[in-house]
Amino acid sequence: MFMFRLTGTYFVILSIFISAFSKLEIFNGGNLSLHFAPLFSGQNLVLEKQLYHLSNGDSLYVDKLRFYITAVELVGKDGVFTEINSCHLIDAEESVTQSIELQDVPEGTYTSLRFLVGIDSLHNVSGAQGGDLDPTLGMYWAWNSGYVNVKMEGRSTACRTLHQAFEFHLGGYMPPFQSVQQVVLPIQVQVSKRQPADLSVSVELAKFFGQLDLRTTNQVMQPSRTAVQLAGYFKNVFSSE
Amino acid sequence: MGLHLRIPLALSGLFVLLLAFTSRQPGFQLPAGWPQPTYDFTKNPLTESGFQLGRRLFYDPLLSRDTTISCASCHLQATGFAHVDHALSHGIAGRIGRRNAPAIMNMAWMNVFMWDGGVNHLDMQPLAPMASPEEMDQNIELVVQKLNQSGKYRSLFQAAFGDSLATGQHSLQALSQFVLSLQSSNSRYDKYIRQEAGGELAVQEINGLSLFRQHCAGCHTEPLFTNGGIANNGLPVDTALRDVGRMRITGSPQDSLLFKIPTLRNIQFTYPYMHDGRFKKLLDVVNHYTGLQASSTLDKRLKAPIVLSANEKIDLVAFLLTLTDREFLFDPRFGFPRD
Repeated sequence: MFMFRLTGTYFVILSIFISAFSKLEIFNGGNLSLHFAPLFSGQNLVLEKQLYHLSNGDSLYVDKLRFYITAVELVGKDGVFTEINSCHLIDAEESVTQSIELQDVPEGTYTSLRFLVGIDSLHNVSGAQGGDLDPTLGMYWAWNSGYVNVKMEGRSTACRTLHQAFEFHLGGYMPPFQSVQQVVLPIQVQVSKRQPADLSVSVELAKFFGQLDLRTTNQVMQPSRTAVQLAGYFKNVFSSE
Repeated sequence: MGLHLRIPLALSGLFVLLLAFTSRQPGFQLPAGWPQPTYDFTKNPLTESGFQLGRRLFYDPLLSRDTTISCASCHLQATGFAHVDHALSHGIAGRIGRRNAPAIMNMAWMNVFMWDGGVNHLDMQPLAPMASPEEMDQNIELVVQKLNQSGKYRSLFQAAFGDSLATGQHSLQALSQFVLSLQSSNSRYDKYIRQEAGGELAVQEINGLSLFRQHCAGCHTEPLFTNGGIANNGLPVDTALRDVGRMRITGSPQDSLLFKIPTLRNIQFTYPYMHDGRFKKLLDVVNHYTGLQASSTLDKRLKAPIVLSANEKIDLVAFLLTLTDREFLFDPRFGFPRD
């Protein structure tokens, strides 16, 4: 009985130590909430129902907007924070997907946010994956393997297509049609253990449509020169104030 | 502790070990003298339960839109998992596809899939026939939905992946586990190479083997009888199908009429031959290679004419028949799951 009590005491002391250390581990850094806000001309994007006007006189509806944000990094003067397993499918239809919680970020001031729009080539050739990379999410090409990095669909009077639809499925990881894009945004964010920080990234679609002519470019559904070009346009929709 | 306690304890320990061993029994063994497989088994380790789930999926018409077509509809075990006697694959509602359903075996060594090499990983290959309107006509989203509605799959997914919820990832990984287990390495030719009993080749067959090594092995490399590559083997384009092969994927004219180089194992039963099933007999295939027409993307290994006498052609075909592996074609583990 005495032996048992002694062992019990040891066990309690040990667990206190373990929990103390693991607490130190957990609270090594602070949390940063990264929010992606889909916009059209500065207003919150409304899918399907809101008619948007472009400066060239065309007008359009956006029916669908989904894109991958991966390899998220914060750059500070003391170093770079890299998110582990960084892969997020952002969907304009589901607000829960639009926030990325960066956890355990070392304290300090960060001046730059870096991420990829799309899936890098390694994850394009790694077989069946789960989570946001699960092929059931409608972001994978069956007949020509690879992820769709950006999927945007809608309707415009400028399109002489069935139902006046435009469909942009931008992807491709093999040369010469690699469409993944890196975005670097200047930011000013203080991360501390005491208080979670917020950072908002605007996704301004008017910038995308301002760069192309829907009359001539309205159906891009496979890796191609045009897909790479449009992916380059889409890269410019991101900004952080 | 008394002896009377130790024995049952030891026995139950042994039993647990045995159980752990059998439930993790790999369905994959590297045949002697073969290269290391290229499939990454660390990402999808073979287990008996994963294999059995994949086998059920392979034979389940639930994968097609109207629940009429399974993988096995066009990939029959007894004919090397090819669609014997059918030039083009068949789909739901009597639809006809655009290409010949290829044989399935020794897939752990393959890096590209489909006749045009459009699929880059074995796990992702089933997505193509599922999504094709001429085959199963159903996206994986709906397949996974149906799997989750069906009661019988819950325990199978639980056993295979520790999660009863079917996902795209786990469905595809299970199919891979079944397909990776489809190994053919016990033909008469294999036994001849390994100098085993039952590996006797006749003089005619040995002569065929040396002709094969001289004229065919550049692409149909031993021991897989394919180098896994893509090439133009000189077939003129079919005017009805107008299939440009690899160019459909890359858009590059250099890839016009390039098709995947298939294995020749079990070729006795995988007729008709070629991506569009245009040849019914092996001799037709041999005659094609001895009468090639030049074209701009013709593989350089075929630029020099292949000259074979009538007897040599017969010898070559006789050798190809030694690649038949009945142990593989009739292995009950690969058949329809009857339990």
